[in-house]
Amino acid sequence: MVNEHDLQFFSGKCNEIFNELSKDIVGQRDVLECSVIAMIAGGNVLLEGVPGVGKTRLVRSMGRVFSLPFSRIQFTPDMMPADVTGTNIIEKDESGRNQLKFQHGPIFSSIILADEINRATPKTQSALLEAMQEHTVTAGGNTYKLNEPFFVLATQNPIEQDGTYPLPEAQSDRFFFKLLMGFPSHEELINIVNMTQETDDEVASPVIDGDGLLAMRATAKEIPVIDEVLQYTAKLVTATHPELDSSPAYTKKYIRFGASPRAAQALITAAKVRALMAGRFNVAYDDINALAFPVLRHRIKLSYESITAGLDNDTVIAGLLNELNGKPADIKPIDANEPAFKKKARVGK
Amino acid sequence: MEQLKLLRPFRRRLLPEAILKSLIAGAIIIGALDVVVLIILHLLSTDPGWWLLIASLSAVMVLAVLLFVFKYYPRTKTLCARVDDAGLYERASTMYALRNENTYIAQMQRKDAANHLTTVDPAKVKWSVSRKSVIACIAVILSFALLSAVPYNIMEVFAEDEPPVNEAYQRLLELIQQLRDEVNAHELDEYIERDMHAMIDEFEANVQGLEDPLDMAAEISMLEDRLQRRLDRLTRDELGEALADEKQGQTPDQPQEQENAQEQEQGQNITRELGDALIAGDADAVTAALDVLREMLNNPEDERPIEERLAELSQALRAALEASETEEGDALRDALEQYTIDLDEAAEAAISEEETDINEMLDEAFASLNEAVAPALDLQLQDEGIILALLEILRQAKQEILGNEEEVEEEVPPEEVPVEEVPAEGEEGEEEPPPPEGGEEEAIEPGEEIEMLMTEPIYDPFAGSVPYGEVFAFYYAEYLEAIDKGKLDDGLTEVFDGYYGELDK
Repeated sequence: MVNEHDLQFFSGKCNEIFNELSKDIVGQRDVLECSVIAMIAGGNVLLEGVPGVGKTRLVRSMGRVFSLPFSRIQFTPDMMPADVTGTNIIEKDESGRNQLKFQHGPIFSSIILADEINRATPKTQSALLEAMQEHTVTAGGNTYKLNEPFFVLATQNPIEQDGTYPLPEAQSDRFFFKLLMGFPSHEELINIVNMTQETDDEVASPVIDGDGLLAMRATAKEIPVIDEVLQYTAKLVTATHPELDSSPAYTKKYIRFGASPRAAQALITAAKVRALMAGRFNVAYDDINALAFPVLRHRIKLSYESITAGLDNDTVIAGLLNELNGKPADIKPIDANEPAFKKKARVGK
Repeated sequence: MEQLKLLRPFRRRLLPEAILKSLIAGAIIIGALDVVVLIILHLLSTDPGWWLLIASLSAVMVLAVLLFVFKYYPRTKTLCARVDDAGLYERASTMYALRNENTYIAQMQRKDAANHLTTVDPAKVKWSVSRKSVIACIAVILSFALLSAVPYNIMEVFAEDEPPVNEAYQRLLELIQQLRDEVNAHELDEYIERDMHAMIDEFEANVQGLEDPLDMAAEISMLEDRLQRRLDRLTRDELGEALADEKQGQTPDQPQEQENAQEQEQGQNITRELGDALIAGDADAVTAALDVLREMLNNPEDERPIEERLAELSQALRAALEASETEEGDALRDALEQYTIDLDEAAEAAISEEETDINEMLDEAFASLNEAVAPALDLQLQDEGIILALLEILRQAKQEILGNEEEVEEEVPPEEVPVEEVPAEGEEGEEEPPPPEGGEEEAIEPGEEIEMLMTEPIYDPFAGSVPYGEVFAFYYAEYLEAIDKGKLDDGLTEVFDGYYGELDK
């Protein structure tokens, strides 16, 4: 059961984490917040952004702050699954006899940076599936458990899609969040330049270890959710399915495929963390609305009508939230560079 | 839970909103019902006065109280949700949901919620009244006011624009009611009353939908004719005079055999008349026939023994009864059967040469017969009385329908009209009454003007002349009936078409 110490520990550590991460990452407050939420909640994150916005730096910095082993996998088209999970190799034992020994792959770490995951073949991408969901690796008939906490931060480039392999839905659904790292603002760019003139290395200090992170995770799970918020969450996820009679006309028009039940799980889990980070001891509608974007944007498939209308996933999600909250759906295309969490100001409860 | 007390200021803030919502909802419901009621009252042209408004206001108050108590009163859960809307991020709602939990996190949550509740100004909790409900309330109130302002006789106003009802038909309907009222006003035997009502019902059915006053007058004339035929029964005096004349027609120098044959034939005639009178239930005619039979019985020129004459009379009566086919229980039949039994007894007494006054026996028997027949006579008088009353009503109505402006004079009942003696065949009597004007003896050319006789103030059915307006409809009806039955040649039909057409003008 959660006690006062747990709550104080959580609150104190959150502040420290953000403070340390801010030393390495300029701006991107919403991405930082969601990344930390995902870490605490135990989910994996898909980072999408143009090159040079700090995706890799963020992951490396988080590795430092959380004092967790960090490993980077640079996906290429010729990469094999064994390059990710590991493989059996033949080596001589002490007596000189040859034996097979499993050589752990880079996935055997706590924080995995899967860089440009969409460059790898689907076969290689699927090597991450079991690790991301079950935190185990099966190779050569043996199952190897991964370290806890285990966290995959995958990145992908939204441009230069030629020669890439879009993530299958089964795999993209296993990412807790999809975060969009936009281009920094003018002031942020100046700060980045000034910072990197001093040093390119991450300077964030360790704040918490794996056990502390697990403790924070357990604390967040205790945050209560009233039935009305739970109903609203289920209603939101259900409303993304156009094949259901209960879904609004907006969904039937602009969404082709809806989100899986993992979306509802992610929403509630993340909302608890977000509430506690905000100093509340309860989940609010606002938490659900704010987290709807990172949770749903990679889980819904837009219809042809929305594509021809120039709508992106975030615009459709915003329109759906307005629809559920009794407001006119906003269907104007939004600025792709606008950070995702600034959209929360458009929607009410 | 102490923290729930912090919600009191917010509840006080929302109570007026709940009252307002209750009143609006009550006004909408009662107002909608009132609109329906007002529409119905307008259709029925009924003015509700002030009672509808008073009742509606009372109903709104009662309904508003019920709605306030059971629906709109700000319950704690609803109150928490409303307070959360002011920026508490579901703290109040979660606090209420965890009110019975004692975990540390629940306590911390309640404490956090309480802290924030104290920082929220109750005025920040905005009233929320549905715009649609306000519009609906205004709409029903305006509808109520509008419908109340519309005159309740609006349907009659529209009705006045319709073409006026045929006055003649109106008079006809009044006539039918008058006839029924007249029948009901008389204390009649049930059979007579039933017959009268049946005739009136048939008359009503025949006049349904008639528009032409001439057609209406024709139907009235047919009813008059029917009633007259019912009334046209030979009276006692008439029958007696007819029989007396018949007797006078006999020549005194005929041999006895011829006398007997004539008497026998006379007896058969009387017997037949008696049978007819029994069938018709005409007590008057029955007693008249019996008087004739008694006179024949007491004929001093008849030298047959009394018992033989009594037997003959008794047989004649039995034959008449059998011929009439009346059933037992018929008043006249029973009276006559008893009379025949008395006659037989008198005959037996005469045969046995008992020291009995035969004439006294016969007088007693006849007195008994009269007593038994009296009720039937009463019925006959009833029948005659009501027929005369109905005829008077019909005559007056027909004149009004035909638009006769002459004063309606009282018609002398047929009983009081001096009956002209009908001369016997071959006898030169008084000059024959002039034929009715416009009859077949005068050839009327189409287009020829016809002088209408409208000078006779008293309708004398036996005088041979009658005001034309009173009989035209009847003649016209008879003419139509003749055409329907094909009794007129085409040539005559054309003549009469022209004749009646000119009369109609």
